[in-house]
Amino acid sequence: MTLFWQQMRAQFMGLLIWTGAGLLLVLGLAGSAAAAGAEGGAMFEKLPPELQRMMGYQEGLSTLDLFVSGKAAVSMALILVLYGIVLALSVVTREVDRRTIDFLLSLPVSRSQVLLTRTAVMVMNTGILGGILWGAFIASMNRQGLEPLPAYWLIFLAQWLLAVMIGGITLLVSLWIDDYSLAIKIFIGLLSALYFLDLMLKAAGVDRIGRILSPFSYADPVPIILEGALPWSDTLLMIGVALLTIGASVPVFNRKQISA
Amino acid sequence: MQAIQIQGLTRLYKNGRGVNNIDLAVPQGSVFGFLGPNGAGKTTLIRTVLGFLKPQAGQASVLGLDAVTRSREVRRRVGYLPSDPALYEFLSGRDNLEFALRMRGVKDRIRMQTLADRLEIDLTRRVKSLSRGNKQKVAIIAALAHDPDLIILDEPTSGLDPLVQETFLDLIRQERQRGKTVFMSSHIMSEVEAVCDQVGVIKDGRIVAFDTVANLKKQRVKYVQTEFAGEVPNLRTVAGVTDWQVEGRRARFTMNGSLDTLVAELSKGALVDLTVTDPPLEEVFRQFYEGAGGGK
Repeated sequence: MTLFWQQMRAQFMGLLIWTGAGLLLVLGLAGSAAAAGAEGGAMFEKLPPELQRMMGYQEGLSTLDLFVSGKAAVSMALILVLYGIVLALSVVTREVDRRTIDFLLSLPVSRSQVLLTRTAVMVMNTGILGGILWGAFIASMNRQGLEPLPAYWLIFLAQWLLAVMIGGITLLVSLWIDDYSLAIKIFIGLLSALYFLDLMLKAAGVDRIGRILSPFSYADPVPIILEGALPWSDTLLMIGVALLTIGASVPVFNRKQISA
Repeated sequence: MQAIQIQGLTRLYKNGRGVNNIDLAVPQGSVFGFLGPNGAGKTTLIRTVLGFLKPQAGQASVLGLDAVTRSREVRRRVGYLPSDPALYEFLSGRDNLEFALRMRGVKDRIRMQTLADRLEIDLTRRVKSLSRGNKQKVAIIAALAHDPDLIILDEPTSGLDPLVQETFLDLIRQERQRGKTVFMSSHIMSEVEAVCDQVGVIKDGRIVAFDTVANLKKQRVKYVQTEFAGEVPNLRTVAGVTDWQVEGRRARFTMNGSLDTLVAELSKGALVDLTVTDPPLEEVFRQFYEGAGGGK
């Protein structure tokens, strides 16, 4: 538990900053939700079909749901995934880059314990951040009398799993990268590329199967709002990939040579 | 029993550097000095013994425990000071030490405070705001606060001012008196000479000398000063004589070879006074590194 609380403490200031910045964005979005609800339908209908598809326009969705899926959910997914990447890189890469790994691994603790405890902090903190952002967004909509759907909480769950899955992949790959700032650039660059790829595929009307390699498609809010449930195949796949990558990280970290 | 026993240990990097087929034994209760310039393999050997690096060949045991398979137990009983220690900057010195002691299951905080008082460091300040020397002091306390049986120090005095260096060397002597083993890598001869019982010299990843400080100094060159009643005989052609300097009836030189030959030559003149001294350890060390000497 000492290791866990030490990492929680290390990440506390980061969590505060991400939460503060995220809340500013989310509450701003929530403030415009009422206007979007009243006028958004007409606005969406005037958009070219490529943009409509890009923003998740689909029959059966209310204008408020369109606003949530097209704007709020996208913003929060990006925030959560970026935060997940930063936390994943703090598990090992930042320790190696700043040389605190020597202090940590000179203690009587197994490498598996270090990795798994710190990964648990990544999972927990992305959950805390997502919960606060979605909670504030939903509470703000409630205060405006907009009656948010219970499915919005499911979008949060899907995005949390997405952040953990991408965090797990980041963790595994980052074990071969000892330079923290380089790792940040690589992963945020990759994430941006994947995000825009997903947008382009959506604009081109590519169906779900065609977007299978795009991680953001696994937490697409539109089917969650329409079905009122998490798509099980996507959910299981995100859980599976997260468990697989985190599990594979353990032996890789155990074999990692930590030179001076 | 040996505190550290290394047999045929090899850990080479892709560029060919590292340590190659090292054999080494450090007796319990001794202070061992591990000498070598940057890149000789000192840190690689230490990191392999502590489990940061996996050996490609050979084995190492620490306090009777296999360094690879029982690394966690080894680290419980060892205090380690890295060559460039880094602590958690967002925490105070005390919080860093508290974290380390809790991880080790140590409840006693008296020793930590005693060490802080000896080294005159304010532990309440955040590590981020500390000077390099003060960070080094906190790292030294982290290596010693749990009262380890073996203390491994990688260039421990870098960043410390001369007064604190002296306090630190006193701490090392005190640990030896308490029966602890100290393994200290350094390229500062004076500190090795001041506290170490035995010395190992590493060159290009291989141990080239291993002996007591006194024996190492005796092994090779001697500083010779002579005074003659009459003219100083010309000894510069004698095998092993270098740095030949004559001042009146006095001659000073360095002798690197058989003293029998020298004495025979000296007796040819009217010798009044003769002083033969051991060189400082720096000179011994320089010889190994200039390739003048092989090793044991």
